[in-house]
Amino acid sequence: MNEYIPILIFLIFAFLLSFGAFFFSIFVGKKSSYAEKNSTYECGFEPFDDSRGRFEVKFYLVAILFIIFDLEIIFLFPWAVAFSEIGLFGFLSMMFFLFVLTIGFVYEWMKGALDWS
Amino acid sequence: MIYIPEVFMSIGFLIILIISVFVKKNQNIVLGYLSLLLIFLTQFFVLKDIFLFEEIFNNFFVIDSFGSFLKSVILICAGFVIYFYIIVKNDSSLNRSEFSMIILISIIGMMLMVSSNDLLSLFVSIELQSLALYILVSFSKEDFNSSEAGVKYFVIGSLSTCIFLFGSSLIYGLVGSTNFSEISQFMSDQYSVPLLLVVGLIFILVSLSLKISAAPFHMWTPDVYQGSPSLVTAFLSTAPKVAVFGVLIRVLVYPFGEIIVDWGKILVILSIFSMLIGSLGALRQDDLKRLMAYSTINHIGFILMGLVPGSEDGITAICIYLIFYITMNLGVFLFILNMKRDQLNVTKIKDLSGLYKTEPLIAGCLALLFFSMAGIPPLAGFISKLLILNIVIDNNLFFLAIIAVITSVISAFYYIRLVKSMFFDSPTEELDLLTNSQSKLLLSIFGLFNLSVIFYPQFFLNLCASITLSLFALR
Amino acid sequence: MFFLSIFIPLISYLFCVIFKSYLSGKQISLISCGLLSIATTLSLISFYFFHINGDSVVLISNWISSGSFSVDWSINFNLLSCSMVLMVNFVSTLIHIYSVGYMNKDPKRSTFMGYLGLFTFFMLLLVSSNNLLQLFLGWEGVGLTSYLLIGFWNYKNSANDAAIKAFVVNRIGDFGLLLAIFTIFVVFGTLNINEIMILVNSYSDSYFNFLGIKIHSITLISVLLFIGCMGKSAQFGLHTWLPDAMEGPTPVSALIHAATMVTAGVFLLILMSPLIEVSEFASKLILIVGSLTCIFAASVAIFQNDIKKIIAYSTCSQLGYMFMAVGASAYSLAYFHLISHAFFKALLFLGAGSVIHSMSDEQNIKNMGGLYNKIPLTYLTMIIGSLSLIGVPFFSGYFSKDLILETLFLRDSELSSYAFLTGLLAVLFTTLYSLRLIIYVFHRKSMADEKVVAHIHESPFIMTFPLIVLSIFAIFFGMFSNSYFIGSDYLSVWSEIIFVDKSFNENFIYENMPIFYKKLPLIIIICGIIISYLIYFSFDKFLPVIKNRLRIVHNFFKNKWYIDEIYKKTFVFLAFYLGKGFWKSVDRDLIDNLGPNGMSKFVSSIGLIVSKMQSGYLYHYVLSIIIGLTLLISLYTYIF
Repeated sequence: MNEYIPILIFLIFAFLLSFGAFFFSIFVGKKSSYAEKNSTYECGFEPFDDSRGRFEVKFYLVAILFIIFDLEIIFLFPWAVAFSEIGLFGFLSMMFFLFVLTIGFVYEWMKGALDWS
Repeated sequence: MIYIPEVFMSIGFLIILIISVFVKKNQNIVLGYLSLLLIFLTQFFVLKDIFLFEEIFNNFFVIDSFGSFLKSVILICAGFVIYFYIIVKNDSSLNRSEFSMIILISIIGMMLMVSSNDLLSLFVSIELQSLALYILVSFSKEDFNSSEAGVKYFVIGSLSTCIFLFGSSLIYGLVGSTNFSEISQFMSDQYSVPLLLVVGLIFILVSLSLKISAAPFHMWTPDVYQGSPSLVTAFLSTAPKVAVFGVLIRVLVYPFGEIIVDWGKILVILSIFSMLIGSLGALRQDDLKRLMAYSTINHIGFILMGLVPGSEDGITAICIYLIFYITMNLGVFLFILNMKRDQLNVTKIKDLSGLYKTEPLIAGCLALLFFSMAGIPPLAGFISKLLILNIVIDNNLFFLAIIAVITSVISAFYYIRLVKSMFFDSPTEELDLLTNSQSKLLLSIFGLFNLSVIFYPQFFLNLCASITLSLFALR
Repeated sequence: MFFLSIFIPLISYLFCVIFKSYLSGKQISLISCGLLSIATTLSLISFYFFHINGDSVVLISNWISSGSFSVDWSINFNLLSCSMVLMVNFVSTLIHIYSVGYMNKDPKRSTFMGYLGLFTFFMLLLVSSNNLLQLFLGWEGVGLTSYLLIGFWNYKNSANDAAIKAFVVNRIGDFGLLLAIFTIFVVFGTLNINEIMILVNSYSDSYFNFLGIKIHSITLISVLLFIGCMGKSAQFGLHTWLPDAMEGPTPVSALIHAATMVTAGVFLLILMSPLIEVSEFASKLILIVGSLTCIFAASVAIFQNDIKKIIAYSTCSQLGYMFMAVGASAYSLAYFHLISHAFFKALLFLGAGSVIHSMSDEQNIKNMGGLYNKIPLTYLTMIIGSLSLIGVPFFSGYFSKDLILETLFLRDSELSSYAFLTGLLAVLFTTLYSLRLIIYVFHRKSMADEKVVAHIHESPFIMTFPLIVLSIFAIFFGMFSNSYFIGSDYLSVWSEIIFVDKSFNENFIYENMPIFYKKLPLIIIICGIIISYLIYFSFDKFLPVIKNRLRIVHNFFKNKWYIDEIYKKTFVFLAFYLGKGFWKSVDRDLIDNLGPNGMSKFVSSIGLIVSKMQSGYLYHYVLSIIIGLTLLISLYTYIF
């Protein structure tokens, strides 16, 4: 248990400090509010409409398709690092993986998922 | 390695996927035939090595007779569903090339499930299967019910995934491995099993119960069965159930076989709940698909009962029950697929009334199937129920047996009500005549199979007994 | 061959049922007649070659095998079964042929032929069975077909009532038979008849303990068997169904209620004779009941007016003779009388049928008369049948009946002497009622309407042909075959199958009988003929006067000793009262409301609740899952 005590002390200290700073500013700080200050701040200009508005589902599709390649990269990094040790089997495995991904890519391309219209 | 059925299937799937891109939109039937061919070939590979035992992929998967048998059954289910897809004129919503593709993916997932020998690989394959099924359930995009069912199934499925993962992590934390063989080793080394390990197992059990819709985790079933396209429901009520039962049996019997006392009680509760809810819930239904959902729950309760003693006989009985169950279910759903009025699908029970007058053959076959489901001798359903009850009574679980019999009686009521409606009620509006001769033939085959099993039950008994043996050889 | 002769009637039944709607009634009838004649021919051949084959058992297959209890489907092939099969097939064939004419206009004639075939099959199964269970199957089968055939004209209420009555009364007897079969299995451990016969002597001293009473087991079995036979063979007490059964078509009465089924009881007792022989009490009981039936039925027959009922009571009385023979241990004679009775009684019934046919369905003999020159062939055959029935020398009935009476006389026991006297009295009664029937129907002035009289005609050849054949048998059968049943030639053959009192037969004791007693029946018959001529022919004007004087006696016999009324007042009333009470208070109020109806309401309401739980809201579902999970874990942690 002993080794955890510093962490506990640290947690308590952090809690006190953050809460202290927060409440201190309430009591000490100078308050003046006006309309401009309360309005939404967005890169220096007025917002066009509600930020929770809908947007085209195609963005979503592209994002999902993009994830596949994300995954590919994530998988490729450790493979590249360990490449010298895994030999031909490792190489072929990755090639198969890439092949499968390529098939998926071809499929979505041919199906027209990448056409914006 | 290419002869491993799953690998073969995956490669075949990729090929069909590429072909599908070049197939014109109105020629999706070709893909159906290709998928059927692939399933057929895979079936061949499965059956070729049915008595093989091998650990593959670093012991992540295992090939054994039990797994191969279940794979074969799953492939048969999927084959029938794709065949239905080919022969029955479908709605436009189902008429897309992806349908048979996704069924193929889900079968790959199921085949991996039943041969998984590790919690990790099990998890991944369950997810593969489930994701495919989520898409299938919400396949007809235009249909509001289908989308609703899809969302429900997805959310419940995710919850099931979470529960499964949490249970697995508990087990991993205590055992230090996710491999079934090592968990089994750990269990036999231990004098007393830690409580938390059992809790982890309960989590996994609950997750799997969600998949097989055992009560009280059944709530999604009626909605999803009713909402999804009938073809998908036919698939949903057969193949995944077989696969998940395979997983359930493997997990419970192999790594956790030592603590049978603990999970046996949980199963008793689950099966009692399932049988009660399955029989009582169906009484007031007016939709045939919804009724079939409750009927499934009832059957699941019955099957779970056979697992309670965890004995070889029990699992043999379960295998037989599963075979007969899928034949009955596929037959009924084949009829539901063909239930149309003015070219539109209808699924209400009152639409059945007076079927005997217009379609005596179909009504007869359907009556056979319903009687079989109710467990009326000498049909197949009777044999399977008898076997399960026999196991239960052999293990002195009389209370369970009594509940099983009572619920069987209650459920017999609603099956017989359907038969009565077909034969004795006067038709309100007549259904379209069934012009599809292949469907007719297939339906009669299902009916005849259920009728004729009584003459050769020994075949199934021997088959399933020899299959089950491989499961216990591991221990 | 023997096997085929038993199963061809079944084929005939199936044929009639299957092709009922495809072929015309006439075709069906003729084909079933053809099938039956084949069966008869086959049984005749197998009977003829019986000497070559000897006794054997044809095993068909195993039926029930459970622990030490094993029953086979098998056919007994011996002199008894073989001759019985021949007789049944023969009579059945003749009656099939007769029915073609008799049922000519009936719309359901093919069904009728089918039932006749089915009945024949069951009867053959009964007589050829090698074990008691198969015998019981045949026994129940003939009961069933008898029920179907009595109620064949089911648009008549009286026919339905009679059918139910026959069935229910028979059930009482059947219950006795069932108990007998159970007891036999308990005592002997087998139902195979041959095995029982072997075991009988070693069990002759075994006793039962029932409620602290010690009962001689074989006596118990014999008495129970006899109760079964009483039901089937309409013996006194359980005879009430037989006269009512005359509601059925006449061929049915001839086949079932005269020649074959009613003799099944006698047959069973003959079959089980070694068993009955062990129990003296049972023999005495059989003798008493037999003689009582004999005299009772004969006395009642004199006062009946329905032509068929007279013959029915006569059947009952003749069965009484057979039981008397059984009670006097003269089994082969009982069998002899069984067969000769089958011929002449079938003849009488068919003759009566022919009379009814020609009289446009009139059955009351008081409305007939003067028919002798209008239907001469029927008249002749009826005369032959009646003479045979009365036992006029050298007709069939003479040989069989007189031998029974002689045996009764020669047995030195008080009881059989009484039986002998009863038998003689019954001979007198038989003469009276037979001649009364003949006189009323054929000789007196016609009492029928003119319309009916104008319509009187001789039956077609297809109906008279069986009459002629049966007449020949009624005349000559006894003459040519009496040596097969009495005397030393065939004793060795019979003694292997049934019980035969060897000392009794070998000593030529019949020849040493005093001549007076030997001729006594004949004297009585002559007296009877004279009396009946006087009463019914010469002095029939005085009959009403006598009737009025002796009204009580007359009513007593006319109303069949009031037995039906007594039954109605006691058993039937009680059963109805109890039944009504149980139905109203127990079944409808208690069981239905708590049981099926209450249960189904309860289950249905729960079903509604379960369906309501299915709200359709996803968060309810998720909540239920979480609750379920928590429940399972807490159950496991805290309770298991």
